Amino acid sequence: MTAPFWYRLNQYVRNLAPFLSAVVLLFLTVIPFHVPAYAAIVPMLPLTAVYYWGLYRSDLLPAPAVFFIGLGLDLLSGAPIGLNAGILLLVYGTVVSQRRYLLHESFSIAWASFMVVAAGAAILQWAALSLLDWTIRDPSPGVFQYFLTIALYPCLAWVYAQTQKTILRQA
Amino acid sequence: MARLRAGSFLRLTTPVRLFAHRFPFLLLVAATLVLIVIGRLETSFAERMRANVTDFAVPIVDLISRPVVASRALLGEISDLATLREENQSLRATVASLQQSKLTAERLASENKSLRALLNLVPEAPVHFVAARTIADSGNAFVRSVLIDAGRHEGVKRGDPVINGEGVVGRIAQLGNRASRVLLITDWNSRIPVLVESSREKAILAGDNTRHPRLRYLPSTAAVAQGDRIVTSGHGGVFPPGLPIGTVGSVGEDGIRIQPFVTWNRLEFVRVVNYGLKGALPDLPGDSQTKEALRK
Repeated sequence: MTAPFWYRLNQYVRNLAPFLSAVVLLFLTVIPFHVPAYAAIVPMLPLTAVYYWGLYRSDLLPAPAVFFIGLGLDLLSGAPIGLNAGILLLVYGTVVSQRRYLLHESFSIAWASFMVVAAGAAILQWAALSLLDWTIRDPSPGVFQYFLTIALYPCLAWVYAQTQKTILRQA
Repeated sequence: MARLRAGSFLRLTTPVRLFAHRFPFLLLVAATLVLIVIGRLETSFAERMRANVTDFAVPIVDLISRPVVASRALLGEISDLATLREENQSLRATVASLQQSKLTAERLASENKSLRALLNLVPEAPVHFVAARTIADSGNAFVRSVLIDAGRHEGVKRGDPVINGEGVVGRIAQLGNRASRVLLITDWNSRIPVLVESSREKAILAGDNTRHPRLRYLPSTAAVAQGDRIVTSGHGGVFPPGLPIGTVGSVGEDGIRIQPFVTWNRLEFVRVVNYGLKGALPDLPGDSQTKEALRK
């Protein structure tokens, strides 16, 4: 006997939570907060979602979803098309491949490995933009962006963990 | 023997199976590389895709930004209440001085008009304005641009200058039906032909993603002092001459930096201006062309 329709629908919608969290963060990245100099150092919010869900529930955030989140970010932010899509995919691929070592580690280890992964992403972004423009870009905005992103990770990870406990546990 | 063969078969097929397992992922990574190349070639496909996604996302971004805008307005009102008295006083003083300036301007305008009539000067083209709200920041540490909620339907054209009450903001770099992207004058790719207002020396205002764009290609003999006003020169045909940009902020070893008039964090409403100029467009990012034209 198959599960009732509403039950399946409920489960389906709950399973969308990781993807939707990344989409919300994508929009939060581009809305204007009118805070001085914020636009220059706006954190890579979707990166935190891709890292967390890639680590703990990669079944609910498959690679195509990551691709579309990155592509959306590129198109909305005015960055070269495919840049963030590629970076997020590489982060996702790295995290998924290291899953078995990180999955049962403490939060601090997960955070430390996020710092390493995000540093890789930041360097990649800077290097790709420098290469595309064929000139050495000033890396300082990327450095500020990196520190803001890793500083925000614990708060966002807490939100993801709550989502995982409440919405996905019952799924 | 058979077991051995099965074992070696498995050993042989493992990399193939691993590859097959990762194939969709690799395909997606390859797709991003292809997209970067397509975007780099400035094809109309990339342009259309950007415009369509922007048009689609604008209502969503607008919806999400509403609470931010509302809370900001509330905070602004509270802080305004505290400074109401002082502000009122300073406004009265400003009004008095502006009334003086208005009288002078009116006198000069009528004088200008009669002199133009004397000289048979070609009248200026009628100016078409579109007011728009900024709905999204760039959301990227390496791009300085904003999205505004006016596009092709409102009569906006690619390359149109964008100004606000303070000065030049940037120009339209990408155009959608309902929204468009403004490349700010501080962006890495922004190049604007300008003049030092007092000495009439020509130069290029080049953004470098900092808040203070640099003045480049200024003749070495040019005398520039801190506080000199910088305005558009009108060369290259994108910006009309005389639009205020900023003042010289610093003259140092790393060149001349400009303090723009526009307050970037208060950039809520802008005006897209169509002066009917047909300049260095549609070859955006044709800044290189503008630059070359000026160098010659």
